[in-house]
Amino acid sequence: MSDYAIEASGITKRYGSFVAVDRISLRVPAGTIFGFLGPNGAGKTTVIKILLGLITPDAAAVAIFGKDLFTRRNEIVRSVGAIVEAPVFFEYMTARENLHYLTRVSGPVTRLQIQDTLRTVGLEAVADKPVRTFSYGMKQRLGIAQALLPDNRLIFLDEPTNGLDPHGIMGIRRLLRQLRDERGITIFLSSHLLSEVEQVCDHVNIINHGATLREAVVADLGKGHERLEVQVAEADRGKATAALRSEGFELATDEPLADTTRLLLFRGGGEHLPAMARALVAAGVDILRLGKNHKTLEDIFVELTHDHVSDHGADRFRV
Amino acid sequence: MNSPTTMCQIMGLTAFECRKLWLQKRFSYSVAVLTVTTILGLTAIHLRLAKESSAQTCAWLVEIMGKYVNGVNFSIAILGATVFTIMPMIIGIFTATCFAGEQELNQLRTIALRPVPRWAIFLSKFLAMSIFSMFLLLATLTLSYAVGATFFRPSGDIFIWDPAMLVNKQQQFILPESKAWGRLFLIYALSWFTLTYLVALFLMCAALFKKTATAIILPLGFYFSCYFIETMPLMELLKDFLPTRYIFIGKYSMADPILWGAIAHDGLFTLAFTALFLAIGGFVFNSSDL
Repeated sequence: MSDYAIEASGITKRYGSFVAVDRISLRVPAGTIFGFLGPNGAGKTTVIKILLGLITPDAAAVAIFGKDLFTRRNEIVRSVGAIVEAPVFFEYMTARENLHYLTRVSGPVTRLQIQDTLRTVGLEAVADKPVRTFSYGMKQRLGIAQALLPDNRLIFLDEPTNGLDPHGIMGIRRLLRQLRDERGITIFLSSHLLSEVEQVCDHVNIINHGATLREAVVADLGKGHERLEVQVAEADRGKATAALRSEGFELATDEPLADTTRLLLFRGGGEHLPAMARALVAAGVDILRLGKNHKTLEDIFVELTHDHVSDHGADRFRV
Repeated sequence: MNSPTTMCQIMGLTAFECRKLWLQKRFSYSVAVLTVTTILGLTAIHLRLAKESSAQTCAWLVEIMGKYVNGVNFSIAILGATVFTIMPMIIGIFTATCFAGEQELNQLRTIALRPVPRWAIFLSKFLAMSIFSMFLLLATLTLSYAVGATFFRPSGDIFIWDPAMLVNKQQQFILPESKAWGRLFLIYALSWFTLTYLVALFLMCAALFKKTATAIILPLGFYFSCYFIETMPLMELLKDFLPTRYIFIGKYSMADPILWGAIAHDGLFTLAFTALFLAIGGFVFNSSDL
């Protein structure tokens, strides 16, 4: 049995001359939450559809739980659930009826199983109400319930917190952690929300324009992007920069702050802080602040995707 | 975990489709339309009878209508009025929405995410709509016979009036009551093949065009054009070349004796076309991106 829920390589999909997905490779460890991160239109949904056998790639080798997707798709999908793009149901049916009819083609599903799953996603009280009366958040949760049944081991969630209020978002995140920790379910989570991936995922694959930019363990993602920050008065800027450069520190950014001070960011990890402090004191710089710069996944994402953005003109709000 | 066989999956999906048709009130809307047609038919016959009786210009017609209009006759007349026009319209719209409509709303994807072959999804839609067609025919039979039996008489000999347009044989004759019931059930049973042919045609078009409006308008427009050209005076020379020429197999049961050879011939063509439409539609759906 493979340690990986998904092993895929060379996933390529073209629409005419447009390359939607360009040789993406993925390795998703079993029992983890895997974040698939990218801006809108990066190709995340296309990759998910390929991994679910909903669209045919131009090239790809995909194994799910060690089985070849293209020859054993129906066998694989027996233990795989998904929400793709948005949770879609038959609105005139109740939540329970939707689950009953949709899941029974996967295998025997008992009433108790449906009831338990509805309880897990917090929809037990509205199980017999038509889905048309549900809010978007409730539909998302019903989508997760549908993806879990009958006893799925891998679920794909495409932007599961889209359109949810903060309470709904927190509820979904809690549920995802619970599914991983208590039931050992592997979750493939696609999102353009960096905070979401940072908070719930164990691994991340960042894509843009159909190609992978970075794949890493979320905890390790900041490595190589560490910064040390020094806040000094405007008058001390030149002195501080010169002193630190002479000690071998490389200046990354130099930003003016609103209170006529400067924030200087140097490349390096926290272990260099004492040396940095000594150099600044020796140079007679008044240190207003000195410490590690906490770079978020958001910064890394912007840094990684910035050079690849080709539609600046069309999207004026891009960084 | 035991895996359901594809046959079980098809049965499960067909039940799902029937449940959806029921919850969307498609059965009741159809019955409402058929009821209106039946009442209009009844009113039309009564008006004609009243007019001819008072004018005394066409005594033979009054005699025929007085003697031979009964539940059986009336039910056949209502079937003739609905099976070529109203039922294809109902079936066309509902078939297109249950496939192309669900595809547009991504509901089809929700089903395709399950471990079921695409062709099984396609086939279950065909089976569900075929069951729905059978329901339409049974509803028409029950409703029209009940109305005819109530307002005219329950049974009796029936007068077959000039089926030339359909059978291409100029003939009018009286069919005794003993044979009339058999003909009634036979024409209804054969009409089911006509409707399943249309279900397959509309499903194929829904798989090809993927848009509900297109999947309704193109095949329905084509069907009605063929139907009207086939039945309009002076246009009959094109009849043999129209794709709809085989599907009205029920008309042969109205000849005396029944034209079994023609039923078998046209029935085979109808079944072959139905299978062809299903194969094309299933293939297209199987290779479509969802």
